[in-house]
Amino acid sequence: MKSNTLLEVRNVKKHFPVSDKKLFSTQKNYVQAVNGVSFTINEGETFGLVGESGCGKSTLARLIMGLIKADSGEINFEGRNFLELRGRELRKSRKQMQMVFQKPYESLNPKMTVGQIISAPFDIHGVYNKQERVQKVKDLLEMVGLSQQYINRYPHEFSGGQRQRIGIARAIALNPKLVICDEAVSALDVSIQSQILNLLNDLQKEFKLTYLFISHDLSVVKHVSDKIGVMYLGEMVEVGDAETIYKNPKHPYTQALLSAIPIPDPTFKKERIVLEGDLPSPINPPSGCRLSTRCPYVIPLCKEMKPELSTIGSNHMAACHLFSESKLQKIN
Amino acid sequence: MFVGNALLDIKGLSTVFNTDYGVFPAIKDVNLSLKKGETLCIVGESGSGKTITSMSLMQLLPSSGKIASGEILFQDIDLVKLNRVEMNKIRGKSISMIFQDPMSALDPVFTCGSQITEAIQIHEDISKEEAKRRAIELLKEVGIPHSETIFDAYPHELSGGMCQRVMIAMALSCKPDLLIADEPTTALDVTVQARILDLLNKIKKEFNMAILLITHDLGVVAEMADRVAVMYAGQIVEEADVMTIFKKPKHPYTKGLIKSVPPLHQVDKTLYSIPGNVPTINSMPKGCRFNPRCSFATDLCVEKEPELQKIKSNHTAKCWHINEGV
Repeated sequence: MKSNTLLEVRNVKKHFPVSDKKLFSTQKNYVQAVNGVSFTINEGETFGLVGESGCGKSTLARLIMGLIKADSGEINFEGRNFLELRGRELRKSRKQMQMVFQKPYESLNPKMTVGQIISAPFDIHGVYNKQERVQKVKDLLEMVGLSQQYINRYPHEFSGGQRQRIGIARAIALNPKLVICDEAVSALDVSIQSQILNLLNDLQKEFKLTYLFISHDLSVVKHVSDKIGVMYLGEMVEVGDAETIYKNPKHPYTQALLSAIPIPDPTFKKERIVLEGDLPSPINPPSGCRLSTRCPYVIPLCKEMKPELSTIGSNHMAACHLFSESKLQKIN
Repeated sequence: MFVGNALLDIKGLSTVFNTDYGVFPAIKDVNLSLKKGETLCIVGESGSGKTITSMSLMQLLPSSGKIASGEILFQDIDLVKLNRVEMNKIRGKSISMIFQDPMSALDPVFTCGSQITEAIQIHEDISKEEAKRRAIELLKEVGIPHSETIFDAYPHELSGGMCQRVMIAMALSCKPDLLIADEPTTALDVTVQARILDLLNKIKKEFNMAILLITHDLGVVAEMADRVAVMYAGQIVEEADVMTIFKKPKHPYTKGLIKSVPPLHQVDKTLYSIPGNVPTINSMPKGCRFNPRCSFATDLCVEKEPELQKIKSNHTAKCWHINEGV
């Protein structure tokens, strides 16, 4: 099924330099924000990316969008390496991917009217004439469940949920193929959150959109995603079908993460897997497996060798030594 | 299950806010009671008055806010009638509070240790060394490793989960009878949240405290609460024990709220959603405040506000149509 792969991220790295604490020191340390992440998204599917704060989810989204430049690796969008495109070609590809941001209060320019905000992508890419633009904006407003009369209002006149709808309208204005939702519903209340999730779902059906859905809320990700990737400290630790990941998580980190979700059912009793200690610093991550300092099942090999993301079932990959038996034997 | 009178009894509490558009009630006729050793969760969306309720209780309202009527009986003392000096003696000693964002609730220019010893020394006449010893003991109690080192650390050197533990240690420093936790885990990651919730449950038993937990996360409610009060637009719309709220909710808002949460163990692509938004303070609808968003609303709901009705002992709901099985 290679033909309908929309986005392929291969071994992408991004390290941010941070200065030493000493004033005139020339030595540089690096925050290993994203460290060799690979995954693919097929057309029309939703890929959920989960992980705790600081694991590199948002950096990855920005890398894919080209908002920051990757140090190494490949980002293939529709079969072309996005990192090598320049000028007009780059702009043309950019049109195909759009982003919905986390904070609906900060991602809309307060000095622009709703009409100006939603038609900004048209200005940038020079599509449609004036009348067409107005009509198109009105259509978009209708599509995201807002009244056409709102076109001349300013963002402050709207509630959080409505603003997020405006952000979504802006994102789908150019009929993109890929929409990256970076914590798009995290700032919203539950009852509003469900409205937005339903809207995203409807739009996906209507326009055959592909989503990269980033969130720290595991139940939301489970609800929207076909495939899920779990990140820890800048690395992908487990990738698989949403059902598989939730029913049969393999990586100890995924298991701990899932067992920590509070279930809204007081009769539901479960065993919790506790990870000791805090997230290690991404400047100086543990050698070997990055979870090795907190993992309840740690074996000596974990501290020595870094596990590769390897297939452990159909559409299911995990980066953990416990599942690569064959490799274990080779070393012994 | 519990013997004795209520530790906290809030009767008919209304708090008004002075805004540019006039004076509006932020919460109206709130009744709550809490026994020793019990956890009561107040759940609701933003703007429903959860935080105003706790701020009224602590008398920490901003200058534009004022308690208009009602009583807050804490250990049979009416907190509303106390002056500032008297309230200071209770605040932080018998009632303490932990806040939503642990990073900004701690003072960045003082060490964690000095902030805890300050809290102890305000309320108790003990020496500095004794206070320090107590503080380190408390830090150990809340699960902080190397508590002697953390005692001298500044808040920015710690992670969010650690800061929240320091906040909890500070709140526990004078062995309070009531702990108010206002969204204590909202700013934290799930794995950290799970450990903080476990910690709260542990210290609740150890100190035999009552906890008033304010949250919007129904998962947290299910895990922590003995009883639940659901707030909507400044009013309590339903109150019951945790089982009843989740299994037999009566108010349409409570039902909608529970159905809006994406289920973990179910495949259904369309989520239930409550249409519309929470009304703002200056545009409260007439009659039942939920009626514009309620799919069961009748003429009666638009005209007249329902009373909080008793369904069973310990289960009340504010709706005209409880018996019709909406």
